[in-house]
Amino acid sequence: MEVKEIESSFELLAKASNTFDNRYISKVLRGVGTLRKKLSQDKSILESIISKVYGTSRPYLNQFGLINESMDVDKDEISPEVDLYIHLLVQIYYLDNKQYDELNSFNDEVIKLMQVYNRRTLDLIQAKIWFYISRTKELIDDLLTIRPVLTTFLKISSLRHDNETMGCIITLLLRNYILTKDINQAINLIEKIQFPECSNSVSCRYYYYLAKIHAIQLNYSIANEYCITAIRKSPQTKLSLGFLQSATKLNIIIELLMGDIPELKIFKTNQWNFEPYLMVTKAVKNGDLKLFDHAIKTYRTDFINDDNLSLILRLHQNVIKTGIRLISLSYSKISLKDICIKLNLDSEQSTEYIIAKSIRDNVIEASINNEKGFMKSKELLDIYSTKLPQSEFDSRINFCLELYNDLVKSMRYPSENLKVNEEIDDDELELIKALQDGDLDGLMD
Amino acid sequence: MALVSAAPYLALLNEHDTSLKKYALNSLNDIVDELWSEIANNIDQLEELYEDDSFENRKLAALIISKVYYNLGDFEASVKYSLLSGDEFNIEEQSQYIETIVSKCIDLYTNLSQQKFQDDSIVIDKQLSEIFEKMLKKCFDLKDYKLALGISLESFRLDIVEKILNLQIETNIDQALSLINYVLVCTNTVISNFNFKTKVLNSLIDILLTIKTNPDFFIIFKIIVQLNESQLAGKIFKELIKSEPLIAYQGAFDLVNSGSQELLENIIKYLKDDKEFDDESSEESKLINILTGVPTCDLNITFLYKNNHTDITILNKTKNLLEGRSSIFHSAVTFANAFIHAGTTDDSFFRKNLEWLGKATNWSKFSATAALGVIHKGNLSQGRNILKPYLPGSSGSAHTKGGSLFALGLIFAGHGRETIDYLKKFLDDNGSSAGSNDTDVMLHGACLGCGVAGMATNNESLYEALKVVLYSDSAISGQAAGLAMGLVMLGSGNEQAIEDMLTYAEETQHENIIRGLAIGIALLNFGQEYKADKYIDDLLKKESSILRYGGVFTIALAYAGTGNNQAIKKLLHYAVSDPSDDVRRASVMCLGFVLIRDYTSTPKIVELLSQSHNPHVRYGSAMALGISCGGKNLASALDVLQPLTSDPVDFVRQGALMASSMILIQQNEHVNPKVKEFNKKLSDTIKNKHEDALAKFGATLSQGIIDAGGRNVTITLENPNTNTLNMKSIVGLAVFVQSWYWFPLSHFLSLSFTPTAIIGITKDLKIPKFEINCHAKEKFFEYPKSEEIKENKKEGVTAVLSTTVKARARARKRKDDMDIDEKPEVKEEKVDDKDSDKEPEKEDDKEEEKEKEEPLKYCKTPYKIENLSRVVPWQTNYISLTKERFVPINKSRGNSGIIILEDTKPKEKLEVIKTVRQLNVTEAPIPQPFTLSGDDLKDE
Repeated sequence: MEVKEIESSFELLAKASNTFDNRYISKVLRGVGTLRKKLSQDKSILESIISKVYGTSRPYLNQFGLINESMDVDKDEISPEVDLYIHLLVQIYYLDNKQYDELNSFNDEVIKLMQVYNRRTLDLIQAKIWFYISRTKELIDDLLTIRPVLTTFLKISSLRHDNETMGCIITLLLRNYILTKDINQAINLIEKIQFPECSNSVSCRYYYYLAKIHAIQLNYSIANEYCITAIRKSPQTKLSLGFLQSATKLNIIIELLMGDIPELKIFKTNQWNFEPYLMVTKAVKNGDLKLFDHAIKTYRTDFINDDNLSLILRLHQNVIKTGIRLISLSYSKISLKDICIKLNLDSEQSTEYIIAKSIRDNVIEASINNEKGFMKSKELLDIYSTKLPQSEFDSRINFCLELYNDLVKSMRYPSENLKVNEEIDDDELELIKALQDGDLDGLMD
Repeated sequence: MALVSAAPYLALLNEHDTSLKKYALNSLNDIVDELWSEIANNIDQLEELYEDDSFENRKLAALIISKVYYNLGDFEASVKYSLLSGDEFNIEEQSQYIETIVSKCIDLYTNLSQQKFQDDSIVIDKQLSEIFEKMLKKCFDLKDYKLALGISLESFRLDIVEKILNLQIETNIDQALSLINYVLVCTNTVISNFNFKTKVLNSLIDILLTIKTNPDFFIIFKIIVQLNESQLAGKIFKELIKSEPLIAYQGAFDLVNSGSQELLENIIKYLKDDKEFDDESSEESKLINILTGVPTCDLNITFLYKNNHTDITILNKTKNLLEGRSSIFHSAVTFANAFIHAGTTDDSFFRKNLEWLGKATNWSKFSATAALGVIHKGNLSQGRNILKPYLPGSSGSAHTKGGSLFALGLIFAGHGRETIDYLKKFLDDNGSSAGSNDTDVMLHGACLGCGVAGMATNNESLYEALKVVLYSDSAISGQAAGLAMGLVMLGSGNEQAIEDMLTYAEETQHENIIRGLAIGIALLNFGQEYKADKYIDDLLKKESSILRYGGVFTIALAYAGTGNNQAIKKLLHYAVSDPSDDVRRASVMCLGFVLIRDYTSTPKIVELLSQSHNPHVRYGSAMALGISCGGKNLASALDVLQPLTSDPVDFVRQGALMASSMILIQQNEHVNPKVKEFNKKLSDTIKNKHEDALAKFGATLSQGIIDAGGRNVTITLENPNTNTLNMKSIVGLAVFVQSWYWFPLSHFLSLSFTPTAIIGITKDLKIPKFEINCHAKEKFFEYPKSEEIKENKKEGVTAVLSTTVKARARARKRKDDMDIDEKPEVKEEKVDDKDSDKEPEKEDDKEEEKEKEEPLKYCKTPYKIENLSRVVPWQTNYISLTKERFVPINKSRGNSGIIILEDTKPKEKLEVIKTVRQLNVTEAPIPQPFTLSGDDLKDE
């Protein structure tokens, strides 16, 4: 049954290589998601496929191919698409069965193979294969050795105008740098490389990493922009929930760091456990240091798992700032000592410093009277007399326009030519339908 | 263990100790591919190091910089530094970096070298040329000569090309010849620089002449055509005629086919002037005779006459459906008749429909008379006699006389020697009295006639006579004079003439004259490429839209067949941005001319334009397809044309129908199933009462085009044997599209028709009777069945309905055979060699029953065709001359056109097919068939 399914996808692959239409490939790859479960449970599927296609011509696949040697092997040339597709399936099998060492040595063979092939129809498959190669290295905790290989292939793919692979490798490199905390290297890379136009799932991942890197580099507003793009671009299917979740978490933190408070409805979705982040947000909103410390203490492991702890810790300052802002809003004049008590700060002097910094950062509009030891808030300005609403409005309009443009660009128009429409066969219709159902799955692990 | 950061090494660069720096550089060089993004931050520092002259490892620094730039994607900078790195840059190394940079280096070198060719002041880096030469050497060692030749040609290194070829000649002569052919093809298709092209061609001739044993003269002739080098041709003919007369004949025929009239004229003059050349001897006089083009015309017309497969029913039907009194329909039928019978000398349609003919008035009378010229095109011996009753001096109206003068020109198109003087005399006598109505019409005809007959003769006195007509500033004759001036000076690029015409175009008030001159200027610049640029720019800047119109046509003709990007860009620009619809239509149309050689890309380029909101642009795109893909059976072109044939605007439908018929010319339904449908569409369009006149006009013309010349001609814009452009055809099309403004110009399309024949002749220039093998199913190359037969067939089927199936099939088969045989009898002359049709027909019927859709492919068992029969362009690959008695003198030549044969059994009896010229003088016995034509010459 599954064997047949795989074989039918070979036909699609052949069609893709004949017509140079990558859409067929993406359809095949979409099928991998459903195939995956059965594939990893049942070794015989791969065994029969491999023995059928290769026989014993690939020694490193002997693990799979030896069951029925007597079988007739098609001596036809194996098309590169089919070849790599099978390798991808093998990778997935190893990965799901946690045979990391076998997978690792298998990967070396795949890399050799990919160096030989140069066809644009392979782009999508290659990108996927690279993803699994890098994932393997991550799992066996061997992040450094893969870097030179990745950089070499980054160059190769850019010379071949293989955008998909190039995009994928860039994200993998960034992930690699982030995991080893080599943020400087990551910055070096993104500064010097131009991210190519490639499929949605890859580019939204790229934006996610960009957001993360910029957040760490204190460029919160840029990070926020990237993060929103990543969330917006990410496919809205079940498979991409994981990605969406971590992107949303990052977004919450970045918004908090920027001094904004995320909307409550973000936390209210039932699917995800946002409790830790809700607590932190509450603490920031109320300027409650106690609550903040408490939240960090209770959810420390969650934050570490999400790799967000260092960013969360930066929020400490924000909690204080919000506290000060709240105080300055509610009191027109208050002594430093009272502030110190309200915010649980160490001393009156440090309170004064913090307030001075907040005034300088335009968090509050106030002045400090040193002699008498109090803070005096200035009268609240009419916000509509400033340019603030205007610029906010402007940014929203820009956002809408950009969204619209992106939509127009990504649409496929039916050809006006009647003749061409007639030629579209059932296959094509099915393909178009499948593509309309949703973009490529995110495949986040 | 891979390094995580290059920072330690980068830090070392700040040290003062040079050995530390050197160590740092070496280490950086190892890791640069991995950590380039980090090193790129310090590129300033590296550059400083390189610029420090005292630093000994500065070249290594350059290499690292180059690698960083390479990784950053800035290849220009990378190449620059790789050149500076000198020895550190190792070509032999196998890496992607080296590969990429070397290929970029070669690109750069080619570019610089091309510039250097024009401007000597450009200095090419020594390192760069070293890399280039090293790579060439590599190619050479791998015996990849074609690659080496291609690269050196592209970088204008003639010295290397010569070196390679000479070396090959010494070692392997066959390969050398094939390489020379390769260079020739490359030169024609790739090199756009005129000077360099001439240089290469000249040196190729030198090289070819050095070959002692058996040089390939046919390549030399090919080059001569391109160089327009009459002296050289004369010299070669002089030697050849003594040693290898047959080769000389074949060469002469090829020259007539592809050379300009001026070139032939000069060769003849050269040979006649030469004392050593004995024009009394039979071989020599025969050669001169061939060069006059008379035999070529004679052979072609014989072929068209003998194989005339006109389906007169179609024409009759159309005539009856279209109201004869309306002059547009009358003209349409006239043109269709002219095209269908072009060159066949069959003017029975006129003779049978005298009443209809009488309805013609004024200019439709002019066209009708001129149609005689198209029908008798190439009938050099009889042409004058046929037209005698209509020529000036007769009692006819001025329009008839004018038309007959034009007809005279058409008969002698491209071979005007015998008639130019007559036409010129008429011009001289009447030129100054232009303006009066009747003389004007006659002058119009005479000017056009002069232009066609004297095409590309570069004849100064003729030009002056035309100028007199032009300067009398009459709209009717002036227009024709302007056009004719261009035709006479075709492709000369004569600056004085262009200036004259341009000045007058700006002075005169008559739009017609301006248009005639504008097209004339375009014709003058035919094939001039970049040399025409200044005139193009000048014309395109003019305020008058007519002159801009001429400007885009100048682009079309100057860059015809080159596929030049600059030209295409300019045309596309004017196609979408010019305020005048005429200019826009013309510029789209002109794309077709520029893309003649690259015709497969035309549909892609004009596809979007064909969906334009502007009907003129749509018309233009239809014609562009018709022009570039004429006779090519290109499915993608038809796909673009399909929606245009049912366009809401009448003239777009007209254009689309004409263009489709130009593409489908000569095809039957087996080769392209669309033909049937299209023919039906044509007749439906004509039948439909509510159809617009313009579309009906187009449909009628299309019927003429698709069945042109008794179905024995096609439109080929490139000479298949020499790969040169077919100037006559292109000019024919360029003037034909002017029929938008002036219907009589439609006749020019007949210039584009080339007979598709195989004509084998012996050394006496006789056509022997023998059979030729064709290795494919016959049905792909048959003539389409005539309408009449189809109707008969239907009756036949109903008549035998009661009999058994078997008997019915047999009966039908017999009926068919009979019909086919009867068909030729309908025509005036019963020709014996039609028998060939009989035999294969039976097989064919069987096959048809078996399988309908079957691709054209090679089959082992050939069927036979007679000498002097139709060979359509897609058939030539399946033709093989039987190796029995007659063997072609040039084996590498394609199997079409005129082929000189060597008779291996000269003792045996020879059956000969008589040519039209011979038939016409049957009263007197002729022992030597061509003595008469020789006499004709002396009259000159």
